[in-house]
Amino acid sequence: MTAAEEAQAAALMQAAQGGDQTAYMHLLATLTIVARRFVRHRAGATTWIDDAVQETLISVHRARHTWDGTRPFAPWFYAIASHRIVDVYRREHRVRLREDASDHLEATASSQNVGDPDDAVDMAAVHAALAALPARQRDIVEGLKLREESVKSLAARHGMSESAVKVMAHRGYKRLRTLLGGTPENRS
Amino acid sequence: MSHERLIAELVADVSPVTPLPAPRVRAARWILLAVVAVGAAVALRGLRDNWPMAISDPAFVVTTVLVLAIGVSAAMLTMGLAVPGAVSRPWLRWIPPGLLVVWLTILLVDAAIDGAQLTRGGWGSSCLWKTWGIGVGPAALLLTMARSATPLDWRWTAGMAAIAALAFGVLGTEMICPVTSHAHILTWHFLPVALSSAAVFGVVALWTRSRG
Repeated sequence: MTAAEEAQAAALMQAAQGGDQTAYMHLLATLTIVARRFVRHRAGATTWIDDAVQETLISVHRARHTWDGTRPFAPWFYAIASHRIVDVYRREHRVRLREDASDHLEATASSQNVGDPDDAVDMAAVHAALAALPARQRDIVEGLKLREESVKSLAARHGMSESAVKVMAHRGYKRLRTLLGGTPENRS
Repeated sequence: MSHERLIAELVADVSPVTPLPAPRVRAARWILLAVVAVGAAVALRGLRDNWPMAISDPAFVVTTVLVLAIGVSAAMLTMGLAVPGAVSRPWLRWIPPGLLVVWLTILLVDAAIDGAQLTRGGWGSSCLWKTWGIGVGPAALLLTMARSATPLDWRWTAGMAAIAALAFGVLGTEMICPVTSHAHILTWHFLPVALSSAAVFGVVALWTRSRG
Protein backbone atom coordinates (compact mmCIF):
# COMPACT_ATOMS: atom_id res chain seq x y z
CA MET A 1 0.00 0.00 0.00
CA THR A 2 1.53 3.30 -1.03
CA ALA A 3 1.49 6.29 1.31
CA ALA A 4 -1.12 7.95 -0.89
CA GLU A 5 -3.30 4.82 -0.87
CA GLU A 6 -2.99 4.57 2.89
CA ALA A 7 -3.96 8.21 3.42
CA GLN A 8 -6.92 7.79 1.09
CA ALA A 9 -7.99 4.54 2.77
CA ALA A 10 -7.75 6.11 6.24
CA ALA A 11 -9.93 9.05 5.19
CA LEU A 12 -12.46 6.74 3.54
CA MET A 13 -12.56 4.43 6.58
CA GLN A 14 -13.21 7.36 8.91
CA ALA A 15 -16.14 8.36 6.71
CA ALA A 16 -17.31 4.72 6.53
CA GLN A 17 -17.26 4.45 10.32
CA GLY A 18 -19.75 7.30 10.26
CA GLY A 19 -21.99 5.29 7.91
CA ASP A 20 -21.01 6.94 4.59
CA GLN A 21 -21.89 4.28 1.99
CA THR A 22 -20.20 6.01 -0.94
CA ALA A 23 -16.92 6.32 0.95
CA TYR A 24 -17.21 2.70 2.02
CA MET A 25 -17.75 1.53 -1.55
CA HIS A 26 -14.63 3.44 -2.68
CA LEU A 27 -12.69 2.02 0.27
CA LEU A 28 -13.64 -1.58 -0.50
CA ALA A 29 -12.86 -1.09 -4.19
CA THR A 30 -9.42 0.27 -3.27
CA LEU A 31 -8.81 -2.52 -0.76
CA THR A 32 -9.78 -5.13 -3.35
CA ILE A 33 -6.90 -3.97 -5.52
CA VAL A 34 -4.48 -3.72 -2.59
CA ALA A 35 -5.53 -7.12 -1.21
CA ARG A 36 -5.19 -8.81 -4.59
CA ARG A 37 -1.69 -7.38 -4.96
CA PHE A 38 -0.80 -8.47 -1.42
CA VAL A 39 -2.10 -12.02 -1.85
CA ARG A 40 -0.25 -12.39 -5.13
CA HIS A 41 2.92 -11.09 -3.51
CA ARG A 42 2.61 -13.43 -0.51
CA ALA A 43 1.23 -16.57 -2.15
CA GLY A 44 2.08 -16.27 -5.83
CA ALA A 45 -0.36 -17.01 -8.63
CA THR A 46 -2.65 -19.38 -6.73
CA THR A 47 -6.18 -20.44 -7.61
CA TRP A 48 -7.56 -18.98 -4.40
CA ILE A 49 -6.59 -15.33 -4.76
CA ASP A 50 -10.22 -14.25 -5.15
CA ASP A 51 -11.25 -16.24 -2.07
CA ALA A 52 -8.53 -14.62 0.03
CA VAL A 53 -9.47 -11.16 -1.26
CA GLN A 54 -13.15 -11.70 -0.45
CA GLU A 55 -12.40 -13.14 2.99
CA THR A 56 -10.25 -10.07 3.66
CA LEU A 57 -13.04 -7.69 2.62
CA ILE A 58 -15.54 -9.50 4.85
CA SER A 59 -13.12 -9.35 7.79
CA VAL A 60 -12.48 -5.65 7.19
CA HIS A 61 -16.24 -5.14 7.29
CA ARG A 62 -16.62 -7.03 10.57
CA ALA A 63 -13.60 -5.36 12.17
CA ARG A 64 -14.18 -1.80 10.99
CA HIS A 65 -15.08 -0.62 14.50
CA THR A 66 -11.64 -1.71 15.75
CA TRP A 67 -9.66 0.67 13.58
CA ASP A 68 -8.54 3.68 15.58
CA GLY A 69 -8.43 6.82 13.43
CA THR A 70 -5.37 8.03 15.29
CA ARG A 71 -3.36 4.98 14.22
CA PRO A 72 -2.00 4.09 10.76
CA PHE A 73 -4.38 2.17 8.51
CA ALA A 74 -1.87 -0.12 6.77
CA PRO A 75 -0.80 -2.29 9.78
CA TRP A 76 -4.46 -2.83 10.70
CA PHE A 77 -5.38 -3.84 7.17
CA TYR A 78 -2.34 -6.03 6.52
CA ALA A 79 -2.81 -7.87 9.83
CA ILE A 80 -6.30 -8.84 8.68
CA ALA A 81 -5.17 -9.73 5.17
CA SER A 82 -2.25 -11.86 6.43
CA HIS A 83 -4.49 -13.90 8.70
CA ARG A 84 -7.08 -14.43 6.00
CA ILE A 85 -4.42 -15.60 3.54
CA VAL A 86 -3.25 -18.19 6.06
CA ASP A 87 -6.84 -19.26 6.79
CA VAL A 88 -7.73 -19.67 3.11
CA TYR A 89 -4.46 -21.45 2.39
CA ARG A 90 -5.10 -23.95 5.22
CA ARG A 91 -8.68 -24.51 4.11
CA GLU A 92 -7.63 -25.08 0.51
CA HIS A 93 -4.90 -27.44 1.63
CA ARG A 94 -7.36 -29.48 3.72
CA VAL A 95 -9.94 -29.60 0.93
CA ARG A 96 -7.26 -30.77 -1.50
CA LEU A 97 -6.14 -33.51 0.88
CA ARG A 98 -9.74 -34.68 1.36
CA GLU A 99 -10.36 -34.61 -2.39
CA ASP A 100 -7.25 -36.70 -2.99
CA ALA A 101 -8.26 -39.17 -0.29
CA SER A 102 -11.79 -39.35 -1.65
CA ASP A 103 -10.59 -39.95 -5.22
CA HIS A 104 -8.22 -42.65 -3.99
CA LEU A 105 -11.01 -44.42 -2.11
CA GLU A 106 -13.32 -44.30 -5.10
CA ALA A 107 -10.63 -45.64 -7.40
CA THR A 108 -9.95 -48.48 -4.96
CA ALA A 109 -13.65 -49.26 -4.59
CA SER A 110 -14.16 -49.28 -8.38
CA SER A 111 -11.28 -51.65 -8.95
CA GLN A 112 -12.55 -54.00 -6.25
CA ASN A 113 -16.14 -54.00 -7.55
CA VAL A 114 -15.44 -54.99 -11.16
CA GLY A 115 -17.87 -57.73 -12.09
CA ASP A 116 -19.63 -57.54 -8.75
CA PRO A 117 -23.25 -58.73 -9.29
CA ASP A 118 -24.41 -56.36 -6.53
CA ASP A 119 -23.32 -53.30 -8.54
CA ALA A 120 -26.80 -52.63 -9.91
CA VAL A 121 -28.28 -52.74 -6.42
CA ASP A 122 -25.50 -50.45 -5.13
CA MET A 123 -26.11 -47.94 -7.89
CA ALA A 124 -29.81 -47.88 -7.07
CA ALA A 125 -28.91 -47.19 -3.46
CA VAL A 126 -26.49 -44.46 -4.53
CA HIS A 127 -29.18 -42.79 -6.64
CA ALA A 128 -31.64 -42.99 -3.75
CA ALA A 129 -29.04 -41.45 -1.43
CA LEU A 130 -28.31 -38.73 -3.97
CA ALA A 131 -32.01 -37.92 -4.12
CA ALA A 132 -31.95 -37.30 -0.37
CA LEU A 133 -29.37 -34.51 -0.69
CA PRO A 134 -30.47 -30.85 -0.90
CA ALA A 135 -30.90 -29.76 -4.54
CA ARG A 136 -27.79 -27.60 -4.79
CA GLN A 137 -25.56 -30.13 -3.05
CA ARG A 138 -26.94 -32.94 -5.24
CA ASP A 139 -26.25 -30.94 -8.38
CA ILE A 140 -22.66 -30.28 -7.25
CA VAL A 141 -21.99 -33.93 -6.36
CA GLU A 142 -23.59 -35.19 -9.58
CA GLY A 143 -21.80 -32.53 -11.60
CA LEU A 144 -18.40 -33.51 -10.24
CA LYS A 145 -18.80 -37.27 -10.10
CA LEU A 146 -21.35 -38.18 -12.79
CA ARG A 147 -21.24 -35.40 -15.38
CA GLU A 148 -17.51 -34.66 -15.03
CA GLU A 149 -18.10 -30.93 -14.78
CA SER A 150 -15.34 -28.72 -13.40
CA VAL A 151 -15.40 -27.06 -10.01
CA LYS A 152 -15.06 -23.72 -11.77
CA SER A 153 -18.16 -24.17 -13.92
CA LEU A 154 -20.21 -25.37 -10.93
CA ALA A 155 -18.99 -22.40 -8.90
CA ALA A 156 -20.04 -20.03 -11.66
CA ARG A 157 -23.44 -21.67 -12.06
CA HIS A 158 -24.26 -21.56 -8.36
CA GLY A 159 -22.70 -18.17 -7.67
CA MET A 160 -20.29 -19.70 -5.15
CA SER A 161 -16.54 -19.62 -4.72
CA GLU A 162 -14.59 -22.66 -5.87
CA SER A 163 -13.63 -23.43 -2.27
CA ALA A 164 -17.26 -23.34 -1.21
CA VAL A 165 -18.13 -25.79 -4.00
CA LYS A 166 -15.37 -28.17 -2.83
CA VAL A 167 -16.48 -27.92 0.77
CA MET A 168 -20.12 -28.55 -0.17
CA ALA A 169 -19.09 -31.51 -2.34
CA HIS A 170 -17.03 -32.97 0.48
CA ARG A 171 -19.94 -32.64 2.90
CA GLY A 172 -22.13 -34.26 0.27
CA TYR A 173 -19.77 -37.25 0.02
CA LYS A 174 -19.82 -37.63 3.80
CA ARG A 175 -23.61 -37.47 3.84
CA LEU A 176 -23.79 -40.07 1.07
CA ARG A 177 -21.52 -42.40 2.99
CA THR A 178 -23.71 -42.05 6.04
CA LEU A 179 -26.86 -42.67 4.00
CA LEU A 180 -25.27 -45.71 2.42
CA GLY A 181 -24.50 -47.18 5.83
CA GLY A 182 -20.81 -46.27 6.12
CA THR A 183 -19.09 -44.22 8.79
CA PRO A 184 -17.69 -41.01 7.32
CA GLU A 185 -14.81 -40.74 9.80
CA ASN A 186 -13.46 -44.19 8.91
CA ARG A 187 -13.56 -43.70 5.23
CA SER A 188 -12.47 -40.13 4.57
CA MET B 1 -19.78 -14.45 -5.87
CA SER B 2 -18.13 -11.61 -7.76
CA HIS B 3 -16.19 -8.91 -5.92
CA GLU B 4 -18.67 -6.29 -7.13
CA ARG B 5 -21.60 -8.20 -5.68
CA LEU B 6 -19.81 -8.76 -2.38
CA ILE B 7 -18.89 -5.06 -2.13
CA ALA B 8 -22.49 -4.09 -2.90
CA GLU B 9 -23.72 -6.40 -0.10
CA LEU B 10 -21.18 -5.07 2.40
CA VAL B 11 -21.97 -1.46 1.48
CA ALA B 12 -25.70 -2.12 1.89
CA ASP B 13 -24.95 -3.52 5.35
CA VAL B 14 -22.78 -0.63 6.54
CA SER B 15 -24.01 1.43 9.46
CA PRO B 16 -22.30 3.97 11.72
CA VAL B 17 -20.00 2.35 14.26
CA THR B 18 -18.35 3.71 17.37
CA PRO B 19 -14.62 2.99 17.22
CA LEU B 20 -13.39 1.00 20.21
CA PRO B 21 -11.21 2.80 22.76
CA ALA B 22 -7.48 2.05 22.53
CA PRO B 23 -6.46 -1.42 23.82
CA ARG B 24 -4.54 0.07 26.78
CA VAL B 25 -7.64 2.00 27.88
CA ARG B 26 -9.78 -1.13 27.71
CA ALA B 27 -7.09 -3.11 29.54
CA ALA B 28 -6.94 -0.47 32.28
CA ARG B 29 -10.71 -0.73 32.76
CA TRP B 30 -10.49 -4.49 33.06
CA ILE B 31 -7.55 -4.34 35.48
CA LEU B 32 -9.58 -2.02 37.69
CA LEU B 33 -12.42 -4.56 37.79
CA ALA B 34 -10.00 -7.45 38.39
CA VAL B 35 -8.51 -5.55 41.35
CA VAL B 36 -12.04 -5.07 42.70
CA ALA B 37 -12.62 -8.85 42.34
CA VAL B 38 -9.40 -9.58 44.25
CA GLY B 39 -10.34 -7.05 46.92
CA ALA B 40 -13.80 -8.56 47.28
CA ALA B 41 -12.35 -12.07 47.67
CA VAL B 42 -9.86 -10.91 50.31
CA ALA B 43 -12.62 -9.02 52.14
CA LEU B 44 -14.78 -12.14 52.05
CA ARG B 45 -12.16 -14.69 53.13
CA GLY B 46 -9.96 -12.43 55.24
CA LEU B 47 -6.35 -11.39 54.83
CA ARG B 48 -3.85 -14.13 55.77
CA ASP B 49 -3.04 -14.02 59.47
CA ASN B 50 0.72 -13.88 58.83
CA TRP B 51 0.43 -10.92 56.45
CA PRO B 52 2.90 -8.66 58.36
CA MET B 53 5.53 -11.41 58.14
CA ALA B 54 4.80 -12.09 54.46
CA ILE B 55 5.02 -8.45 53.44
CA SER B 56 8.41 -8.13 55.14
CA ASP B 57 9.76 -11.08 53.11
CA PRO B 58 11.56 -9.74 49.99
CA ALA B 59 10.86 -12.96 48.05
CA PHE B 60 7.11 -12.59 48.68
CA VAL B 61 7.15 -8.93 47.64
CA VAL B 62 9.12 -9.69 44.47
CA THR B 63 6.84 -12.57 43.45
CA THR B 64 3.71 -10.52 44.22
CA VAL B 65 4.95 -7.68 42.00
CA LEU B 66 5.88 -10.28 39.38
CA VAL B 67 2.41 -11.86 39.45
CA LEU B 68 0.89 -8.40 39.14
CA ALA B 69 3.15 -7.72 36.14
CA ILE B 70 2.06 -11.02 34.59
CA GLY B 71 -1.61 -10.10 35.01
CA VAL B 72 -1.21 -6.55 33.72
CA SER B 73 0.92 -7.49 30.71
CA ALA B 74 -1.36 -10.39 29.78
CA ALA B 75 -4.44 -8.15 30.04
CA MET B 76 -2.84 -5.52 27.81
CA LEU B 77 -1.84 -8.18 25.30
CA THR B 78 -5.34 -9.70 25.32
CA MET B 79 -6.81 -6.35 24.37
CA GLY B 80 -4.02 -5.69 21.88
CA LEU B 81 -4.36 -9.07 20.20
CA ALA B 82 -8.09 -8.48 19.80
CA VAL B 83 -7.40 -5.50 17.54
CA PRO B 84 -5.77 -6.25 14.17
CA GLY B 85 -2.25 -4.89 13.95
CA ALA B 86 -2.24 -3.43 17.47
CA VAL B 87 0.54 -5.75 18.67
CA SER B 88 3.18 -4.90 16.14
CA ARG B 89 5.96 -7.16 17.42
CA PRO B 90 5.13 -10.87 17.68
CA TRP B 91 7.67 -11.47 20.46
CA LEU B 92 5.67 -9.25 22.82
CA ARG B 93 3.18 -12.08 23.33
CA TRP B 94 5.93 -14.11 24.99
CA ILE B 95 6.30 -11.61 27.85
CA PRO B 96 3.65 -13.12 30.18
CA PRO B 97 4.81 -16.74 29.62
CA GLY B 98 8.38 -15.49 30.10
CA LEU B 99 7.42 -13.84 33.40
CA LEU B 100 5.78 -17.11 34.47
CA VAL B 101 9.11 -18.83 33.86
CA VAL B 102 10.83 -16.15 35.96
CA TRP B 103 8.33 -16.80 38.76
CA LEU B 104 9.01 -20.54 38.54
CA THR B 105 12.75 -19.90 38.61
CA ILE B 106 12.45 -17.72 41.72
CA LEU B 107 10.38 -20.42 43.43
CA LEU B 108 12.90 -23.13 42.56
CA VAL B 109 15.95 -21.06 43.54
CA ASP B 110 14.28 -20.00 46.80
CA ALA B 111 13.43 -23.63 47.54
CA ALA B 112 16.98 -24.75 46.75
CA ILE B 113 18.45 -22.11 49.06
CA ASP B 114 16.14 -23.21 51.87
CA GLY B 115 16.75 -26.89 51.09
CA ALA B 116 13.00 -27.43 50.78
CA GLN B 117 11.46 -30.71 49.56
CA LEU B 118 9.28 -29.70 46.61
CA THR B 119 7.55 -33.07 46.42
CA ARG B 120 5.99 -32.69 49.89
CA GLY B 121 3.40 -30.04 49.12
CA GLY B 122 0.49 -31.76 50.82
CA TRP B 123 -3.08 -31.35 49.70
CA GLY B 124 -4.04 -27.73 49.10
CA SER B 125 -6.77 -27.85 46.51
CA SER B 126 -8.66 -25.06 48.30
CA CYS B 127 -6.05 -22.66 46.86
CA LEU B 128 -6.78 -24.01 43.40
CA TRP B 129 -10.49 -23.28 43.88
CA LYS B 130 -9.70 -19.85 45.30
CA THR B 131 -7.58 -18.95 42.26
CA TRP B 132 -10.18 -20.22 39.81
CA GLY B 133 -13.02 -18.70 41.81
CA ILE B 134 -11.45 -15.26 41.87
CA GLY B 135 -10.36 -15.51 38.24
CA VAL B 136 -13.49 -16.88 36.58
CA GLY B 137 -15.50 -13.63 36.59
CA PRO B 138 -12.67 -11.45 35.31
CA ALA B 139 -11.84 -14.14 32.72
CA ALA B 140 -15.39 -14.14 31.36
CA LEU B 141 -15.39 -10.35 31.27
CA LEU B 142 -12.02 -10.22 29.53
CA LEU B 143 -13.10 -12.71 26.88
CA THR B 144 -16.32 -10.78 26.31
CA MET B 145 -14.35 -7.57 25.91
CA ALA B 146 -11.92 -9.28 23.52
CA ARG B 147 -14.81 -10.71 21.54
CA SER B 148 -16.34 -7.28 21.08
CA ALA B 149 -13.20 -6.42 19.10
CA THR B 150 -11.89 -8.79 16.41
CA PRO B 151 -9.32 -11.32 17.61
CA LEU B 152 -7.57 -12.79 14.59
CA ASP B 153 -5.86 -15.53 16.57
CA TRP B 154 -8.14 -16.90 19.28
CA ARG B 155 -5.48 -19.24 20.66
CA TRP B 156 -3.26 -16.42 21.83
CA THR B 157 -6.12 -14.12 22.78
CA ALA B 158 -7.80 -16.76 24.97
CA GLY B 159 -4.45 -17.97 26.34
CA MET B 160 -3.51 -14.41 27.34
CA ALA B 161 -6.95 -13.85 28.87
CA ALA B 162 -6.50 -17.01 30.94
CA ILE B 163 -3.06 -15.92 32.15
CA ALA B 164 -4.36 -12.43 33.03
CA ALA B 165 -7.43 -13.65 34.93
CA LEU B 166 -5.58 -16.43 36.74
CA ALA B 167 -2.71 -14.12 37.66
CA PHE B 168 -5.18 -11.85 39.42
CA GLY B 169 -6.84 -14.95 40.88
CA VAL B 170 -3.59 -16.20 42.37
CA LEU B 171 -2.78 -12.69 43.59
CA GLY B 172 -5.93 -12.91 45.71
CA THR B 173 -5.02 -16.44 46.82
CA GLU B 174 -1.55 -15.28 47.93
CA MET B 175 -3.21 -12.63 50.10
CA ILE B 176 -5.56 -15.18 51.69
CA CYS B 177 -3.46 -18.35 51.98
CA PRO B 178 -1.11 -18.36 54.99
CA VAL B 179 0.93 -21.39 53.86
CA THR B 180 4.56 -20.48 53.20
CA SER B 181 5.86 -23.89 52.09
CA HIS B 182 7.65 -23.73 48.74
CA ALA B 183 6.10 -27.00 47.64
CA HIS B 184 2.60 -25.68 48.38
CA ILE B 185 3.18 -22.44 46.50
CA LEU B 186 4.64 -24.27 43.53
CA THR B 187 1.94 -26.94 43.38
CA TRP B 188 -1.17 -25.00 44.39
CA HIS B 189 -0.38 -21.39 43.41
CA PHE B 190 1.97 -21.47 40.43
CA LEU B 191 0.93 -24.64 38.61
CA PRO B 192 -2.82 -23.82 38.41
CA VAL B 193 -1.96 -20.59 36.59
CA ALA B 194 0.59 -22.13 34.24
CA LEU B 195 -1.25 -25.37 33.46
CA SER B 196 -4.74 -23.87 33.19
CA SER B 197 -3.46 -21.20 30.78
CA ALA B 198 -1.65 -23.80 28.69
CA ALA B 199 -4.82 -25.93 28.69
CA VAL B 200 -6.94 -23.00 27.51
CA PHE B 201 -4.43 -22.31 24.72
CA GLY B 202 -4.48 -25.98 23.68
CA VAL B 203 -8.25 -26.39 23.80
CA VAL B 204 -8.83 -23.21 21.81
CA ALA B 205 -6.19 -24.29 19.29
CA LEU B 206 -8.01 -27.61 18.78
CA TRP B 207 -11.35 -25.83 18.59
CA THR B 208 -10.20 -23.34 15.95
CA ARG B 209 -8.56 -26.16 14.00
CA SER B 210 -11.72 -28.26 14.04
CA ARG B 211 -13.77 -25.31 12.84
CA GLY B 212 -11.41 -25.02 9.87
